[in-house]
Amino acid sequence: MEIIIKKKEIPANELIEISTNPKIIIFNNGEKYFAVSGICPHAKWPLELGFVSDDSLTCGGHGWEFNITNGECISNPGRDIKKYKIKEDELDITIYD
Amino acid sequence: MLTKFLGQACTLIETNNKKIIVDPWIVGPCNVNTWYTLRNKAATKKDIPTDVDYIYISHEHQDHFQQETLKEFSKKIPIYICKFKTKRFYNEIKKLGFKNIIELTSWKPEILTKDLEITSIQNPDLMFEDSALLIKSSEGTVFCQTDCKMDFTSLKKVNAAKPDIGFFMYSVANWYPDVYNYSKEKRDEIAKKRKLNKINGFVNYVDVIKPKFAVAYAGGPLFPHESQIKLNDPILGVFGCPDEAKMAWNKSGKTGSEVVVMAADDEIKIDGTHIKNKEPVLSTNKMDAIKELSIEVQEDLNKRWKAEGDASTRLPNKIIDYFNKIISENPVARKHIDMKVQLIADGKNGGEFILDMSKSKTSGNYAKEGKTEDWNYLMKIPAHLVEKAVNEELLWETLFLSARWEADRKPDQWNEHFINLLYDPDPTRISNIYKIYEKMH
Repeated sequence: MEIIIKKKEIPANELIEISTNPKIIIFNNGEKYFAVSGICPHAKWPLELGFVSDDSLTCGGHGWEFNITNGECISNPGRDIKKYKIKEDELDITIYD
Repeated sequence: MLTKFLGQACTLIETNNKKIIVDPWIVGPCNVNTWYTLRNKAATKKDIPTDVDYIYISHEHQDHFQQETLKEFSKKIPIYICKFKTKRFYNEIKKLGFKNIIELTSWKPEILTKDLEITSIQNPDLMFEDSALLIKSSEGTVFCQTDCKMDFTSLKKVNAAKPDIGFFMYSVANWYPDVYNYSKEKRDEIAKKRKLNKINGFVNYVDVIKPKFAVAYAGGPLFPHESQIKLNDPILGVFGCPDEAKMAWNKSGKTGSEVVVMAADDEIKIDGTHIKNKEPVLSTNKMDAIKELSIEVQEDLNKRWKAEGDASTRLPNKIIDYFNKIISENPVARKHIDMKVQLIADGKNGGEFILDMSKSKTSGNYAKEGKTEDWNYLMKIPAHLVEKAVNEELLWETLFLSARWEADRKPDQWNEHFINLLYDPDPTRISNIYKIYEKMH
């Protein structure tokens, strides 16, 4: 799997869905980009409804928290989400397995 | 169609001359004599509308399934519940003497009359059983989330049902972080974050379901016992008030629903007309309300606490037998729990116990008397309440919700596997859960 997206389409500090199948969201903290699975393993809420504070992505449904840099579930260890790899060039981002 | 809010998650829906009550907790405390509903003055038996045609109960937590209130209803009234994977909740209701308990398959509408149908909606959680309810009549549609943590697909389906009125949970109602041994700064930081996350969840639920009118309910209770007053703090406490949910909705800029703050005993018509019968307990007057309530019920609460009695001299053996049994019978749970617990049964006939649920320990005694520095989880619980739990007279969850205990964790992490084992240690249930869990993770 490989998805290429223009950097200008990813504003800073917003969770953006970039793929529906598999569902993937991307986050630009102003310095780096992070891509993770976009579905909360708890109750299948879309994670783009959540918010990011520091490295922590909080689900907008029931508050489960994930480390957006590696996908680890902080609030409920073991219930991690998939982290995708990222390649960056001047204009584009490539998200891949 | 008229809906009366009766405190916490209790609603009375009257439509086409039929009445259905949901999660009736109206009188007395729950959760081991600690929680009261958010009212300025405690309700009395006269406030219980016993002339109902149907009862729906979402799950077994006592703020939804409260015996003191339920015993006032005729045992002939049909009680509807969600058809859960286990029969434990069904059996608990049966023990109360109700003759007609109907289990509803999640999302399969049940026709009560030609003008009225109800749909039970089960939560998706593998480990804990809960449900929400959708009530449709020719006069309108009402949705009651109770405190069910719903899956997103179900929210979209509730939205498609176009509810006129929705009741939504807005507050934490749990023991974290208050029972844990945190510094004040750390505790306050966690409480603030939890409260914010829950209110944010309220806003998102309302935004996805989009009822015309959304009522903030199933929130934080009041803790009127003199030893627990600090839990009620409206600023530093983890338990919110409905005005905070309304403010968050208004601040979000989202549209399409109007958030309504109702006091217990207020009513709302299907067109949103709000009939105000009482003054609501809000973040601005909560401490005054708790002071008054505390004075009003203190004597009764003290009597109730005293009547709980002492632990028996057999408690140490009971603790060891209970934990040896549930740990040895559930090796798959132990593998996931993987920790040592220091249990202190505090008070007369209590003691200190080590519960070894390390995954490396595969035989021998899992529970013994003693003290260890090597614990991952420490629980200090009044001995007589531990005895009720190991006697299976009291759910561990109910005990934990009472906040009448202290805890510590190393590392500071939630262990859902341990709580799940205590929730219901039935080996068949546990084994079935981990067959699914291990495929998922």
